[in-house]
Amino acid sequence: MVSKHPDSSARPTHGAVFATTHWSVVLAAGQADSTSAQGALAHLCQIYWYPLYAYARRCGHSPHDAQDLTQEFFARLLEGNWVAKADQQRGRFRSFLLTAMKRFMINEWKKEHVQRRGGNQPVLSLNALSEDSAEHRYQLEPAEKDTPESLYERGWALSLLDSVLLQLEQEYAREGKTEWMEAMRPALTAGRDAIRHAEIAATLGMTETAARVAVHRLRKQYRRLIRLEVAHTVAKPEEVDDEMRHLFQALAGS
Amino acid sequence: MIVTAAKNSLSKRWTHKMDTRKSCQNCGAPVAADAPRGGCPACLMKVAMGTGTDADGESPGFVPPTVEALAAKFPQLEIIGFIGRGGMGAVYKARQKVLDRVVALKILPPDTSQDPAFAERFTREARALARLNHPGIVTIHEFGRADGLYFFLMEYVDGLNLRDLLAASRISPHEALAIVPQICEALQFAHDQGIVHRDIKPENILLDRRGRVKVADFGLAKLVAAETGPEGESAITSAPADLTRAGKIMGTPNYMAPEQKAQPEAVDHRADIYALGVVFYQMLTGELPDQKIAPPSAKVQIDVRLDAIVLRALQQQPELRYQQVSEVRTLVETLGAMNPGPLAPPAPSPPFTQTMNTTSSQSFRRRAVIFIGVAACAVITGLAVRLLLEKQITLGPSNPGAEQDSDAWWVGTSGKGYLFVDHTDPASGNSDFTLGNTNLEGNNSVAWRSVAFPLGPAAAGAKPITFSFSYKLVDEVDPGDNVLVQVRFFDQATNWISDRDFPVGAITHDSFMSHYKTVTVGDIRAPQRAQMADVHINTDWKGFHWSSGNARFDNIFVTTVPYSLRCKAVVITVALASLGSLILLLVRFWRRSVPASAAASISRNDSVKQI
Repeated sequence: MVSKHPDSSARPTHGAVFATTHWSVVLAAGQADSTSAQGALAHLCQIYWYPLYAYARRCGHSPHDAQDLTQEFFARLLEGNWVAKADQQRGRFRSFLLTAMKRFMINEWKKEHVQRRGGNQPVLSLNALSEDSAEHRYQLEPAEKDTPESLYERGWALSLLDSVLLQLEQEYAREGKTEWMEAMRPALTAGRDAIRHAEIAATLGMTETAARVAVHRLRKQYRRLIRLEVAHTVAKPEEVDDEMRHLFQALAGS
Repeated sequence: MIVTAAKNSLSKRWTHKMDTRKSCQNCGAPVAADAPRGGCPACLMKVAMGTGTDADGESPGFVPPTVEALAAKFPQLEIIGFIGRGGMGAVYKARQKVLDRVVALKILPPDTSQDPAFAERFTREARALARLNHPGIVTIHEFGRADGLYFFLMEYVDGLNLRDLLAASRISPHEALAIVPQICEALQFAHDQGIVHRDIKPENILLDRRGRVKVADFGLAKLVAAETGPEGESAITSAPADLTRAGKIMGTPNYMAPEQKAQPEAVDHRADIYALGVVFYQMLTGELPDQKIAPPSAKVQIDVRLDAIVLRALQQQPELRYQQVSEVRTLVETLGAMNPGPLAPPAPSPPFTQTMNTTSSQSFRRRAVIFIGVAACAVITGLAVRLLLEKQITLGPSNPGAEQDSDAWWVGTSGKGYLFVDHTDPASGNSDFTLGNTNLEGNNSVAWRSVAFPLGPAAAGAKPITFSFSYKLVDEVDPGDNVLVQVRFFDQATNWISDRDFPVGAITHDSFMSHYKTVTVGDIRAPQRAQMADVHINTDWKGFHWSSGNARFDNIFVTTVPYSLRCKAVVITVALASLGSLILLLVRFWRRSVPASAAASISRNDSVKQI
């Protein structure tokens, strides 16, 4: 007797939201060299450049070459329209970046490299990546059992987590709640029953129930941010869960 | 530009923790030096995967309108976001533009509002709610109908509900005793106005950021008292009684008083007291009461006097329950005041702890020895347990006898692990599908779920694990593709428990298109029955939605601790036994020499602490 309400909103909301995630913007832009696509790509590269550096290192390049290579790669990526060649139907940024890097290392980099050494100025400042910290971090990577690919995957997941945690910290700092974030940080790695609410409550001078509320909100926000960040790197909303599992597996045992 | 920014972020993020090496407090694994912001990556990711109290599981039927769609209907509001959905609609966070006030907008499913009896029920509910002005009750600001959509504008409670709280972790008896009186107070206020909530359940008990209770959703409230006015009587005895049914289950079965199930129209405020009893029981034990209600103290260590309160609230006959919810409040508050600490009974070895009050040097020595003995026992036991349990679990075959390890050694306890539904295309090895809407034990949108599984001999301890799941394969499945769906098991440390996969079944595109009843299940062991249902060929994607029945694993058990460990376990057990005997002997020896006065003081202290 009851007819379906003819609401235009029959589809869940995430479709609309998703249209603005970074990688989908880049893909949607295709060959058109739009500013928003450039910005989106730049944002992604900023977070995920380290895994590529680690990849290059594990492939046997010296620190100096790896820095050169990564930098040159990004310069070319940002100025060129390689993205147009990405399989727009199913590509994820993670796979795209690695595939593009592999291609670049095989086909393009050698000759480019030679040319540049001839005296051409690089597009980006060389100092940027020669900062020792990248190499320092690389030295901390697990020993040789990892292949370049698995190292890349792991580095990717770590970079993503790092970026999300930084955002979370900044959000709390904006609200003047840095202290809250610090007190509740262990709750981001703890199992449900291992969270010490009483301790957090004591640290922050609140009731235990209020601490529970705060922890719950933190964890919820953390999950939301991480899903959003993952969404930025995939082409379709349906891929988020799968990418999450991929990251989970990449990190298991690390 | 990019690289410069990258440099900055790099040096900022990584350099300060290069040299910190510690182990994760949660999983015990060493935290890598490059762990993000110092957190164990595996655990961070595990929490991120979540098992969902806040995962937005979708159930069929009502799809809440989008924020954009709502904004068009409510020009006076700025719709800030979607909060959640319940049986009676969806709730959004919004801001009243004129008042600059944040409110909760509750809209009711459009389908419901087609019901002719609904307009009357709605107005009645809204008016009843609007009467209730109490700090413990969610205030209703406004109600009405906008563009065919019934809505309430309510006080926005910045917090979470008790369901989330209970799902997030167990709450202590002490906390339960802080929450219950507040619920009582709000309910008593409503009862005094002749309003019965009729749907008290954890979802309707909200907690704001300061931990204060707000009871929400007097949505099923029914005016029972005739005292509201001269016309009240006829209103009660005639029409409204049936409105509460209107073809729907009004109330939530688990929390519903027996008389509410039998005669919904005859319900009075004592039904709320019953529902409160269920909520209280759940807060204390983490479980719903069974048919035959076990006292809470039989399940968890709590003050036995709580049993009496809870059990009386849960009496089947309304007249045997408390007659006013304020009685519950008084009792609970009294109990809470008498015992400001956690309401757990004293530690299991009172004779030992009580001796802390004696003062002689002998007793000090005794105390020291006992303390050291107990500590040593605890440490050794802990080590032994860790040794026995740590990553030694493997999953036995679900088909007993088939691949059973004859050398299996059973661990007589129970454990917890994770079920993980995986899926691949065996031809290409491609697992690039989306597996969504997987329901493992409850409603969850992620594909894995913690599940307790028994450890122990197949005959005694093994029980079937039953779960249901459905999933969507998106986009990648072409005619001829064959997708194998498997279930894997994780232990808490994220290791595969078994290197074997447990195939659930295989579905092919072709079999699927030819109406899914013919789909074969790969391995008879699991699931024993799979029913295909609910297929959508959606225009948005080329895939399909397969909803299976239940998968059932019989005789799942955990086996196999290596031989060397068994030897160690035997040695440790013997060592423990001898250490225990030694401590007992020492205690006896010292106790003989304790003066009578000290003994008397011990027993006096005993009696004080037993309150």
